[in-house]
Amino acid sequence: MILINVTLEMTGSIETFLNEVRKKGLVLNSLHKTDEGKIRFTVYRCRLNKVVAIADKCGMKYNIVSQKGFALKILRYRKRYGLFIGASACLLMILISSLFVWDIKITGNEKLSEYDIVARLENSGFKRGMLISKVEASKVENRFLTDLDEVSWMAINIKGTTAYVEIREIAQPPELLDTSEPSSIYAVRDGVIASVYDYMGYSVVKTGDTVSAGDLLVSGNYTDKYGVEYKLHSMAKVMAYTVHTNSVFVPFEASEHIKTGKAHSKYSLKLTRFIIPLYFSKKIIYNNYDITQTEKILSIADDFILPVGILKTTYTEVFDVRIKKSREVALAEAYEKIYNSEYDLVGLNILDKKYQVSESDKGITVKAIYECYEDIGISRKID
Amino acid sequence: MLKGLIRGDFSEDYSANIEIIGNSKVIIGGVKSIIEYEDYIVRTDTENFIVSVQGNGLSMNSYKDNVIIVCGRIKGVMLDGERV
Repeated sequence: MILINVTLEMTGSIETFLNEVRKKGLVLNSLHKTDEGKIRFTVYRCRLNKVVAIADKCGMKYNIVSQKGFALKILRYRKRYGLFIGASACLLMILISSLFVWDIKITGNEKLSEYDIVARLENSGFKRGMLISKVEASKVENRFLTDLDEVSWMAINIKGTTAYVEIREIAQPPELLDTSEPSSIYAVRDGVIASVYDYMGYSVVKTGDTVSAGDLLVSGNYTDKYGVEYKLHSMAKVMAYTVHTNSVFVPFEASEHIKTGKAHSKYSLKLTRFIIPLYFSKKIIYNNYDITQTEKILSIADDFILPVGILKTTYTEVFDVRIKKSREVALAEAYEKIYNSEYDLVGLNILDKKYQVSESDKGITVKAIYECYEDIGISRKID
Repeated sequence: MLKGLIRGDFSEDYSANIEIIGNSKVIIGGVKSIIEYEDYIVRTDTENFIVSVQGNGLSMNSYKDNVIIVCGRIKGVMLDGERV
């Protein structure tokens, strides 16, 4: 009733009527005068009887022009039971859904992946789709912490249908060097020895020697003058001049993947783990296409996630074209690739670099030669 | 001022507050009753005056909390019968 607005038109002693209405404390909305000299206004249906009583008392003539409101719209559908059943079922489903955990949000992890944490939570008795009332947060936290040594603290807070899992990882102490284990140092790459600083062990190379990858540089085996053998844990810094090379080939003709601009999407309904296609034909109308998938999870609020989502699969038509590149374009592309690959050499001391360009009928090759200064020693256990 | 009038915030002496907006709208606060309501005149009784709004096609668009809004082509606003 309160949601219905009634529009009335009245003629007669307007002044008396308006004064009486004001005295009774009633409010007339959208009050105005029509071209016929009548007053038109809107009142809530619940106040209509009072307004009509005043109008009768003042000798007004009135007629109801229209009735509008949400309640009237609802009343219009009062015999369409299917709608009410559907709406009630929907409401019931939302209410039931609110009793479960549908989303887990993890914060505080740096080394551990979310996938690992979710798997460990499942082992600890906490997973998506479980009843919120059945979640025993303190027990899950204890089991989780006992199970996972990398985590020092955790907390589970449930808001709506979302569980917020906050964790603190243990800062791992640096690995202690086991100096009791005998080892020697070998070369990891070819080079010319620049300097050898052997803190422990006995150097078998000297400055200016040329070594190949795998050569022994510092030995942990030692035999004293009495013939007694010792096995040491070698520690040394063997600096050498090395050469790194990298070459990039860019063909003059290449195939490229180009979108035609045509795209076709198919939608599926996702109910927890089940996917229900909302299309009949599985046929894809393009011969060459790229596929992208996006998922929209339905939610009532940020924390109130529903177990229902829409999965959108978009097929974008593509075609392959053969593109011919000029020498300049190919060379620029090759140099760009070479420069990008130089990021892999971060940490090395590059003394000099040279680029060699060679060309054939098929394409262009840029070879980069880097002269470096680096520690080439690597420790290996003595059997 | 306008918002204050519509809310019904009047001065302490409860005398009429009148605001004229262009020649199309007059807002009168402190209205006790409406004496006359015609197309060419709207007369209202306030504590100290009878306020007459004259014009053509006058229409009272609101009457809430002792405030009326008269719209139309306003030609004049008169205050008569001062009662102190």
